[in-house]
Amino acid sequence: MKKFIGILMAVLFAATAFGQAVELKVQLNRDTPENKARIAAAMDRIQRFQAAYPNIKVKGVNIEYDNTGEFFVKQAAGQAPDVLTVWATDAALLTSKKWAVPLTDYVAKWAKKDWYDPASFVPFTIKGVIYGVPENNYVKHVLYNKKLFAAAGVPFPKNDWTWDDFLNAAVKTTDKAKGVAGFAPMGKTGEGGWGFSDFIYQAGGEVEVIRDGKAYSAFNSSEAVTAAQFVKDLKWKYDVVPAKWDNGWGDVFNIFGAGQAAMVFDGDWGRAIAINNLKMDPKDIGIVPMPKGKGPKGRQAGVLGGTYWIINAGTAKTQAVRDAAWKWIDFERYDESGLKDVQSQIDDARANKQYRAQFVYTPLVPTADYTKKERAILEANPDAAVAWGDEAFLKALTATAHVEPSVEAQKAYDPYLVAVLQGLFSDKNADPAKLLKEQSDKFQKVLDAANKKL
Amino acid sequence: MKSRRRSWIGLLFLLPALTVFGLFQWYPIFNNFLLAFQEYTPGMESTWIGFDNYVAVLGDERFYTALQNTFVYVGICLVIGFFVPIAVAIAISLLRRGKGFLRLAVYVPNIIPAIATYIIWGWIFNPQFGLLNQIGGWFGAEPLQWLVDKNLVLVSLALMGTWAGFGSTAVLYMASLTSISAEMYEAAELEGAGAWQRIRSITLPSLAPTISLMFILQLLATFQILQEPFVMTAGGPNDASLSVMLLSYQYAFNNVEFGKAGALGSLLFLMLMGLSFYYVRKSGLAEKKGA
Amino acid sequence: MADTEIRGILSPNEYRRPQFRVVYFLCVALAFVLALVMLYPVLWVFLSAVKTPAEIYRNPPTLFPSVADWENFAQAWKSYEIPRMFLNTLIVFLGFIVSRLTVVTMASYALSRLDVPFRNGIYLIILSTLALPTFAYLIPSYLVIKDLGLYNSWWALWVPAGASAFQILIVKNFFDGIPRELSEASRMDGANELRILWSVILPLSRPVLAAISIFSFLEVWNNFFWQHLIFNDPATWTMPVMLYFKSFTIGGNPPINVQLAGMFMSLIPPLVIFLLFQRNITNGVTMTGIKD
Repeated sequence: MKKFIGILMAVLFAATAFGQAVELKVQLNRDTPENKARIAAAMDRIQRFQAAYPNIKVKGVNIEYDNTGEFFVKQAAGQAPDVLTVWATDAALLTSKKWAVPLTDYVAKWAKKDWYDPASFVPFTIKGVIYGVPENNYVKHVLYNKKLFAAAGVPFPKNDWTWDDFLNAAVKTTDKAKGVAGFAPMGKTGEGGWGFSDFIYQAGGEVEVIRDGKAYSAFNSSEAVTAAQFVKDLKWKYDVVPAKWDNGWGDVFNIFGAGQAAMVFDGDWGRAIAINNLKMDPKDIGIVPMPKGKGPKGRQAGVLGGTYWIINAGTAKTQAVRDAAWKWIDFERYDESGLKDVQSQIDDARANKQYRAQFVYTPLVPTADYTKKERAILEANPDAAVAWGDEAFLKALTATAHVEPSVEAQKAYDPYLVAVLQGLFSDKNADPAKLLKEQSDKFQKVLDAANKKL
Repeated sequence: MKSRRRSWIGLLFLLPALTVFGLFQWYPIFNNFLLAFQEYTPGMESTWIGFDNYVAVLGDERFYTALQNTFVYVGICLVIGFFVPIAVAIAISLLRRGKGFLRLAVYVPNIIPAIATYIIWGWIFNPQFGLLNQIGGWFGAEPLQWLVDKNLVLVSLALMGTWAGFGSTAVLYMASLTSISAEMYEAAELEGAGAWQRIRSITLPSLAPTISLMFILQLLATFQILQEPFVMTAGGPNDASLSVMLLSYQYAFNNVEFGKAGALGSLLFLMLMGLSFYYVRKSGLAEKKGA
Repeated sequence: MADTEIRGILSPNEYRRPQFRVVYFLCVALAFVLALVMLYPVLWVFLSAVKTPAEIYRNPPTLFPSVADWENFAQAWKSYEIPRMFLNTLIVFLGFIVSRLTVVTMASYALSRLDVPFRNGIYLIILSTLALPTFAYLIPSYLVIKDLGLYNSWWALWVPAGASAFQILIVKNFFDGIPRELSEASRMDGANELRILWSVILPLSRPVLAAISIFSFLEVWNNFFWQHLIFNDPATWTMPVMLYFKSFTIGGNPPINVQLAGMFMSLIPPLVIFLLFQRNITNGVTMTGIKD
């Protein structure tokens, strides 16, 4: 009897060892009436993936990364996805907390790596190690309301415009009696600091520099002072920003979409709010790269961002799961199924009487076939999709890309840069140089602590 | 013997509450305290770092800003908001008609989804077109900056908080008012006491235990203010409306420094607990009243 | 709607006296203004729900829509899955209120009228949970729910329902005000404590029980973040989670006027519950057998 049980156990053990499936948790949007086509496309992909890799069992996790509070809680409980897309802005945070698995080895051996524009990997490459694979990219640029420009007699901006042109347009389109502001910046929390950093870059300055592997705060510079003075004048000298200036990310696009602001900065999704939530007509939205800043080092610059794939070190603890996660990233990357995905987004948008309005460009080399095909799909559906920017624009745009700080970016934005911005906007007699120095010194202390750990 | 059995029964009645409190409140709170001594990143191994988090929090000048702001906010709320529910509850009880309608009206702000409240008050406080500045304009007042004015932001938030919250407190007072017997008023009237005197010598003393309880509960609640500054101003402008819990939130969810958030939370907790202990002792809230 | 002639602070004939009438009239006027201030936002939400999205954000703001689009309500009805959400939330509330009332009334009765060892200590340790907002220990709380296997089911809300320090203290305070002679009499008749609680104390406590029922409903109706965490599967979703999801995710939100229409419809159940329960709050409760 004992022998029999022994053999039975051995057989059972062998059976389970052989059929040892790896469970992979992937990110899945929630199934709601507005998402039907996208969910169907996603489920199809899961089926095909499991067919291709029979020993990987895919489990969908309903999580939206845009609510990072939820992500942290799920991460604490071990319920977060093993592989997910995150924002480039969080690169510094995710890597410092060691949540992102280093991917350099995977990428080095990857056949598809040559498809990519090398610049697209930069935001998620920290100290030479790649932590994220780009899904799509954007560079922040300016949205302007064509109707307001036309009504004020301002010619549409050219791709190489400057701060003077920007200022001129803002002043002419501002009509405070009607509640219209020439330019609506983001004024609070991290977005406020993030938006302010664009101006610093345009004046030729930096937020942070890396020397000998250590990070140093760099916004206590004459270029940053130029930027700060310009921003301060926007409110106190020219009065082109809204009276209620402490707007968050969403507020700014609500204002723009309601025709209460002539210009805003946007990366990718802001215009979707204006178009889908506020029902602004996409044809009334013009796009142009960032204006060139004043001063000897002035340049056209906007933050480079996007969404990136990472493998979650918090939940994917074994090599088997990490390999499975990499396979998920690689599977059907930039081939037909990606195009089907875009088409499903358009179908959903059409069903909801909305637009697939976000602006992202693929991180692939400009000659890539996929990019052309994706563009073709967008152009083929003008009633439910928007194909942003012509070739000249896209070329000019990528030249203005500027990477975000790679260490403690979140803290740079909030509280330090946003403190400068709010100080400039709330006090008529604010001293830009003083504010910058104060906050820069404080940020340096934070960087000193972080440098010790690097 | 009888009292022994009674105390056994007492514990039995308390048992369900003690169980759920233990599992779902005290245990997580205790864990949170432990977090204060660790460097904790969700999903990863945590390391014990002793008092480092406390040192970091106490060395952060924003902590002192937050503390000051919170005290000021509590003070404003007490002045503006503590007496309003009492007055409203008594006033409503005086009415002969339309009590139900007014009760509803007073309670509606509590019912409106928070998002709608924030949109509406964002507009009310708008420096250019907001309702308050418009009304001020009728009286010739200068437009005020409200939420973007560092001197007014706490008052603005207190106004909004009072508007949203006094309904539920008023309802509680109304419930307590019903248990005051009519005979007492009758007797007082016969003795020639005026309406105001009756309120002072009968109504208010009967409400006294409830008022006493609400005082400490409201104090505790306003010290922990988070949602209003978070949504309306994100602590701005320039940390003028940064409250202690908002700072803790920023530590936790902006910077993923849960240890520091736990340390700050435990400091606030200790302070509030000290306050409550002292208050409960003095006011005898915990006493047994029945036989 | 004149309330019945239970006198309050003033007796019926006092109302007729001239000097009272003036003051009374002033009070009515003030009450009217108060009601207007309180109800205006509801009106605003309703009117904005039929505006175009751009008009909602326009400055200077308009009250009445220039073009009314009643479609928005139909769209919100579908998009927010209103019938299912209302039903789900109702079921969740029923389980919640049963759990809460049971635990709270028993605990309050014990603290108010029974001998309990370490009474002061227990009161304080219950009060202590109010010294820290729940979000502060969000992650540990969530881990408890997950480890007990309650995650993603409505039990995650039903089981912990009784842990409301605020309501225990309020109910205890109310029980304190009930004259002890009433329960004493019952006890002498040989009733056990449970019977006393059920037949003597609770009927007299209708006002406070109605009040905390309303509060509990609002807890369930408004606490979106916590429910959003513990109810992962859209099948278990309740109205607050749906409201939050539609407003705060990026991509796939309905336009703002539809969101406001959804919000307006979400006002209706709390209003109904309030109307149902509020009669109990202020109908006079006479307590017989009071010794002066």
